[in-house]
Amino acid sequence: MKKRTLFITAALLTVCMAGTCGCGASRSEADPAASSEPAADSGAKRFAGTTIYMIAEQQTPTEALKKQLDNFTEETGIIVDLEMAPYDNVIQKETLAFESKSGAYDIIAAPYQFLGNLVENNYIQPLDKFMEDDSLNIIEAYDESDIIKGLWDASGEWQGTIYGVPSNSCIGMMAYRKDLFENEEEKAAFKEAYGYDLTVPTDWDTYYDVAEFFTREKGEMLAGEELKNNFYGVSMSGKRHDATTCEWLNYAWSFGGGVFDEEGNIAINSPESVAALEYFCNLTKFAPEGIASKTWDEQTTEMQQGIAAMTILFNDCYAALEAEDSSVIAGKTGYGLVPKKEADAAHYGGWGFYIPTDSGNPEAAWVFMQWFNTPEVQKNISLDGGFPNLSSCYEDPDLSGIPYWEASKKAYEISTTRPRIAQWPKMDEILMLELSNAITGEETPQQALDNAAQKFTEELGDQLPIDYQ
Amino acid sequence: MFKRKRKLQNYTHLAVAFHLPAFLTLTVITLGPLLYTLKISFYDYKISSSGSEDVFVGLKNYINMFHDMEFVNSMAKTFLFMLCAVVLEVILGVVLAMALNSITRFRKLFTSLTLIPMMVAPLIIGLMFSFFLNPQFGLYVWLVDTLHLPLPTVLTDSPVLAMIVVILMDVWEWSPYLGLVFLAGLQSISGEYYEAAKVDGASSAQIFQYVTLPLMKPVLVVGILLRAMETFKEFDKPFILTGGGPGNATEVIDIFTYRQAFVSFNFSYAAAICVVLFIILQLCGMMYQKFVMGGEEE
Repeated sequence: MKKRTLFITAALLTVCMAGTCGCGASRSEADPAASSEPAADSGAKRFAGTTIYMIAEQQTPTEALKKQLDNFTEETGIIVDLEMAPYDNVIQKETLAFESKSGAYDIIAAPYQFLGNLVENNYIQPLDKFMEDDSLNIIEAYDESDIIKGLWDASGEWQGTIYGVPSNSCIGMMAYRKDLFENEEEKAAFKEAYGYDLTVPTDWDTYYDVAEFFTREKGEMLAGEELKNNFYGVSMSGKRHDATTCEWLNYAWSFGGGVFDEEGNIAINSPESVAALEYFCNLTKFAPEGIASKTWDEQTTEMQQGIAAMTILFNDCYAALEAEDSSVIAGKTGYGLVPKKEADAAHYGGWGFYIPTDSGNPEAAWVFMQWFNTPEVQKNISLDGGFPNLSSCYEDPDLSGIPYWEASKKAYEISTTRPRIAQWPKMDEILMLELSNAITGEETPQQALDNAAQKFTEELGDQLPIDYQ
Repeated sequence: MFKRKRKLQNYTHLAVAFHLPAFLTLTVITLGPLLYTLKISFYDYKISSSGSEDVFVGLKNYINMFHDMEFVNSMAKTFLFMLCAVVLEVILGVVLAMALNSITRFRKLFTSLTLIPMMVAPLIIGLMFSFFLNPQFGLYVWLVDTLHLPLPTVLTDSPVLAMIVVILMDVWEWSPYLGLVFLAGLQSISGEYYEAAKVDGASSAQIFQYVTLPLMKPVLVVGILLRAMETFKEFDKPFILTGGGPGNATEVIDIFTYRQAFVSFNFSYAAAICVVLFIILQLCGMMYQKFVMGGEEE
């Protein structure tokens, strides 16, 4: 009996293993087209039959891109196998692909702060050789000069060489409840309480006053209606997460602080940066409870639910605020720039498309990048809630009716980027922890940023001052 | 007789031949990454530093680990989590097992119902609890408000409360599993022991202390070891609910290692931590085997 069981188990196991081996088809086995030679045809169909593999974050602009991929295949004959995954998974999969030198992808999407890291490790290749080769510039509608220079520099340029093109571009902006700011009762009450008119905040003092003014408990009145739930002046991120770093950097730059000063020395614990964090921590008392578990997702939800008056958030979340089926504040929201103290601040949070060094089809990948940055593709992405990389799209009358369009345009003009050096991922991790400690009161803002400065110094060592970011 | 023996021998060869592909494949996919992890733990492989994969640093990563307060803190958090979660799960598991054992009607129905939490993916449990505890829209806040319970409404902003929630999530998920394991143990105890104890005039508490517990000891030990090993590897639920925060209050060792590898890109250091964790879990595994196999031999 025992023998028979052993025999049956062994047979089943063998069948299963054989099945598993069969399922693990390699890239070339899975798709014969991937390894096929490009067709001899010239022009737009030159790479017909080639499959390019790409990975990008699962978000609105990527979904909008996916809808248009058939058009690309129709135009060029190139098939795009687009893999979408949440942020953490994208980074993880790309890291593993690079580390294992698997050549799994022909195009990767990555946040621009990884650019220095990707270049210095030789994970991605320069685009210059493709850009200069006229035989590869086969997408007629592509106009290199139409790409907004600031976005391209931030996401693609490293020490004078172009390594990528902007993929999706988002920028830190303020959203506010226009209906409340225009309400006569609220305007009068604000003037009585603070001695000046209720206006959309352009400085941090006003932002604080307005946040305090609109923070009300259940049962109180707001714009003539009794509140069924607590209402808050602001919605903020406070989780140990990139969302908190991204939001706070708007404050830090605006206060005149930041990660490095102009000479490339660490400025994370400068008086300006500390003042920005003190302000940020003070402001959390006007935000919904549970700040330590909030990211941009919760900020978006809180605004959609209509329980907060203002927020500072990347503008790629704003389409969700205008979605009538899921947002009670659709049509009631105004958009503006991040308030200013010492400097303009609008945190550019874009991603870039890059061609890995081990890509098997870099030329076809470059053709895709051209097509991606054509007006029609960019316009369709914008209509679905993304933002274009092209100047011409900002002049498109079909897009100018989008509520957050004008404010976005202004924000892109003053955009600021976070460091793109290879050590930034580690520094970001340190900053997330220290910001979280300050927000939850485990450390004072000064202690938290002093700790961050010390760890940054250990991480960067003799590379300070940083001469290129 | 000779023919039968030969036939059996043929079967053995055949079985070995059938097992071989599985054995080889499993060896390669298990040992390969393990050996690679061991190798890079002796190097200074940081993805943020070009060429670092070729820099041999010997035991530096292992030595650094014990000077790294964040690692020490994370290990302490992991042991605290493991201790509290396993103790609570065992207590609730025993209670559940005894309750299920005592009912005669609908036992199958109740047993099936208790399986629900462990059938839910840990990721979903993390999300469920984050919705449940959401300070603005969560059911928990509504319950506290409606019933005027003397409980805090925000649980994830405080380091202590956040850790308690993370422990309770695990207890909610895994107590039923231990309940079922212990139920099987209880049902294997012969009724004669209880009858003898009753004849001797033992009270219910005495029966539990001197009959039930000693006879359930092997099952209890196996349950405790299995859960200890699993809780040591906790990742999904706290990662979703708190992200290891606030600060590093709920940063168990797997979250810390994940951050070292995939956020800071310090692969060698993460590999060294994995090797240490592997050794700890291996020791637990050996203890488990000793109890399971040792029990059979006896």
